[in-house]
Amino acid sequence: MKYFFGLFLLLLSVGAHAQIDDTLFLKGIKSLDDGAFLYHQKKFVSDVERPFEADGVFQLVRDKGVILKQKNPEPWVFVSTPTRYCFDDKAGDLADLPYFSYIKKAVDDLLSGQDEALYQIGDVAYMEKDGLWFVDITPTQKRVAQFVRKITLRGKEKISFWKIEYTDGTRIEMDFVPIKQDFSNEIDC
Amino acid sequence: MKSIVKRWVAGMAFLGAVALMLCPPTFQASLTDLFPVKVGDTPLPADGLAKYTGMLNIVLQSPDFDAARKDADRLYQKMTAAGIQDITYRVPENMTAQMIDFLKKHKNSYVTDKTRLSSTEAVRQRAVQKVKTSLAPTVLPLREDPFLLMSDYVQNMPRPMSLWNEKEGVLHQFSDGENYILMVAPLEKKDVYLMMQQIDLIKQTPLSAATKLHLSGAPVHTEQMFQKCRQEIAVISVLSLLGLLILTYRLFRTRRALLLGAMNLGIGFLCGCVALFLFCPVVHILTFAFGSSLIGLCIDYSFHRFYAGPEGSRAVLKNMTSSFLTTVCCFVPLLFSSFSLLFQVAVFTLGGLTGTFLWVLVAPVPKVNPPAVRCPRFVLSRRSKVAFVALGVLIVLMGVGGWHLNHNPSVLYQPSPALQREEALFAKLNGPAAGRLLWVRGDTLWEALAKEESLRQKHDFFGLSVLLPANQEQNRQFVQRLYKEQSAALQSALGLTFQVAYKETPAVDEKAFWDAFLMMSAFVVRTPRDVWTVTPVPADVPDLGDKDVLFFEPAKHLSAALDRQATDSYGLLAVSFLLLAGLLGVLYRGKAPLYLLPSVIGSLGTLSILALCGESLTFFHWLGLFVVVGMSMDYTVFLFNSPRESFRPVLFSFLTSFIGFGLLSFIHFPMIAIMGKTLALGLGLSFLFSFILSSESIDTPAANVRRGRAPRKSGTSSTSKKSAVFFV
Repeated sequence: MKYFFGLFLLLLSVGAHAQIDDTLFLKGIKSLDDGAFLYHQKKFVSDVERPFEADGVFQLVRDKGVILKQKNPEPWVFVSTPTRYCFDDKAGDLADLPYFSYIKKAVDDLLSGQDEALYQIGDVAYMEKDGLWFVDITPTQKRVAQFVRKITLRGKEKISFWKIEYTDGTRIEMDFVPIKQDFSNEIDC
Repeated sequence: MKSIVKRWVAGMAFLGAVALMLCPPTFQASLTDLFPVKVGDTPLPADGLAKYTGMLNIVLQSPDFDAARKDADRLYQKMTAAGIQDITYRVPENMTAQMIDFLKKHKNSYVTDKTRLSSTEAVRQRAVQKVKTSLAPTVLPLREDPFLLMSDYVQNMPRPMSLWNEKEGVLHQFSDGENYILMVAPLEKKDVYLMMQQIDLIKQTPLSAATKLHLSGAPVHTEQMFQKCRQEIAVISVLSLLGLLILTYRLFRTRRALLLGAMNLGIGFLCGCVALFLFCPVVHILTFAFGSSLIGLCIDYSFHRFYAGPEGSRAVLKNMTSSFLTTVCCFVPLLFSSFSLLFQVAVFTLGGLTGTFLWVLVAPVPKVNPPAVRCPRFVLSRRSKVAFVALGVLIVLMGVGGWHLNHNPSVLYQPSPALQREEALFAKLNGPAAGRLLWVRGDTLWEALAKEESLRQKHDFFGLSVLLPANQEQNRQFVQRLYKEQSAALQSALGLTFQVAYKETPAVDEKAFWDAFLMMSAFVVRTPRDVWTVTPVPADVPDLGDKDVLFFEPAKHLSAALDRQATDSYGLLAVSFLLLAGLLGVLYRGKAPLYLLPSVIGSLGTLSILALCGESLTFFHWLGLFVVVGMSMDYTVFLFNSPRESFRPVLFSFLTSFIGFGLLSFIHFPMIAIMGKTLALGLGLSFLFSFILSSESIDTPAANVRRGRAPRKSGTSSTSKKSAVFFV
């Protein structure tokens, strides 16, 4: 599980720390740390009759970390700070995450405002249309590509959707709706 | 007839000695060789230990990966052509995929300890939760791994303690716009010259203009220190020899004395080596450094013997015998030391000393005819002597508080700033240095792996047992039970479209494993008797006291061993002083404490002065004290028994030793420098106090001098009448 925390963090850091540019994508990504979001998740797993649905809230605060609180069907809380992570009552150092070192460079670069790291993970396709932006990332870095086939992000002013397709056929789709709530004081490990 | 027998005996002894010298024992050069590491009663395999402590880290840095890669290939080819084996350089591409493919084939054997120790229901519930959550996708399709056992195993796999990644088949890192490629080579540590050649070859390999070569690791330190010491020792040897020649010539004013002195020295060294080679099958080269007191004593004996000439033989031989016995008393306790270096130093010194002493006894006294030089009389009031002694005692007491042992590597060794930078770069690239190797012993590999696994249950770390588990059978039994008890429940909870059923997978056998993971062979050391797994582990992995498990930190081990030996040497030094006191009591009765005083002040005063100067004490300081006492008793015996006749030979003998050892204190190799400092200071103080205490007392017989009467004659009267008189 720890490995996937790493991937998850990588995605979040893309939004939180990418260089400010004039593309709608980067504006949308930047807006990620502008308040909390409600999310609705659908997870499609091969050989399972129906998708698994879940919902909860998530918030990202620049330089502080991220919180992901699933409310249904089973409540759990995932928190990540710049150095630590916790999942419910389990906690650990980010540096101890197995294989995290493989993507740590990209995460560190993004945290320091360099979005070139994103391009090192894979091929990035970007498109804007009618005020909407679409980003497709196809990982080419072997260790990421081993597990992730494609990442899709979509949004307008703010990010509204992402999709991660894994090589084993699993697909996760998440829709985001901004909410006026603040969970930043819960971002602590 | 007598002389023929003597010649025969000498000739046979010489031939025997030469024969022994032609087939010398094994030599050790590294400090770690002195302190074998043991697990219980089993020593760690020396070859394996050398492999892990003698690694050369080669890092090529370039902004252009392709250029660095080409350079690395060229270097690798050159190194392998030069016979350097087992270089870690090429690694399988896509290692993770290969690893997962292998684990998949034997998946029933790979279950985490936590899973195996859980109930089957808990495992099923965890699997259901993980499948549903967005944070935990699976490593294998659900059809192949419905309980997510493989995913669980891979995701919880501890990370090896390294930050290097595979890129195009080599270990690579990209940082601050630069590419770094790593190679690790186990160099020939036992043969320093070969190791230096190998390092030289690496340095001389042409690289492209943008590529920088960084070398770090123990072999580079050895090479740099060896190079530097070799140059310094060459200069110091020349200077010492020059000093010796000048002083000998100054004392005797004839070149014949030089030859005779050299002969004495040669005999001493030959006898020392013969004794050493006879009693010690393995000899450490430090023995010769710390046995160098032999040189001083051989020179001492020559000076006294030749200076006195045939007429003064009887008196000199008497003093020489006393001096010889005191030195023997000083070194004999070392023969009972459990530390091989001390034993070797004692054997070498006593062997050489005995040889020289016997030679001086039986050899005809040559006619050197030293020039008649006026020897001044030194007169001190008793009060002044007491004041000097009080000053000496005060110095000792002032410094006692600072006598604390410090065997930190920084005290014993300080690398050059350039090498420190290289080490810092490697530490940055390689991640936090483990500095700690876990050695686990077993009669078979599986036994060692089982022990490593039980340790990993207490604290997770990456070791061979992660990929080659010992408890495969238990894992397979658990998986079988899990499927039997929970298949139906899992199928219904997840709504699976396929039938969940147990499928057999083959157990992992050693051959298949090594075929797939050849690189993991670095984690194993095999000896004819047992097998060891070796892995770098974090500092917080607990030591559970298993007799077959050892956490080895070279620096800590060395430091602790030196601490232990230093503590042991206190007792030995005390025994030496006790033996000396006993002998001096027999020889000089009530005056024995006085004879002992210069050596006591000299040795303890040395420690105090060094401590007052802020120097931490080490085992090598204490070892130096044996030499100080052994040599300084010589000055005391001669100066106390015949102060005026012996003054010049003692002074010149002292000066030769002082110059020789004093120069050694400027060497960059700390152990030798420590010995040089300790001996120069100790001998200086001992000589000074021997001289002060041996001077005539103004208020005893020599008090007459003040009243204008002739002093009592104490030897050769002709010179004393003309001599100058110094009052204090």
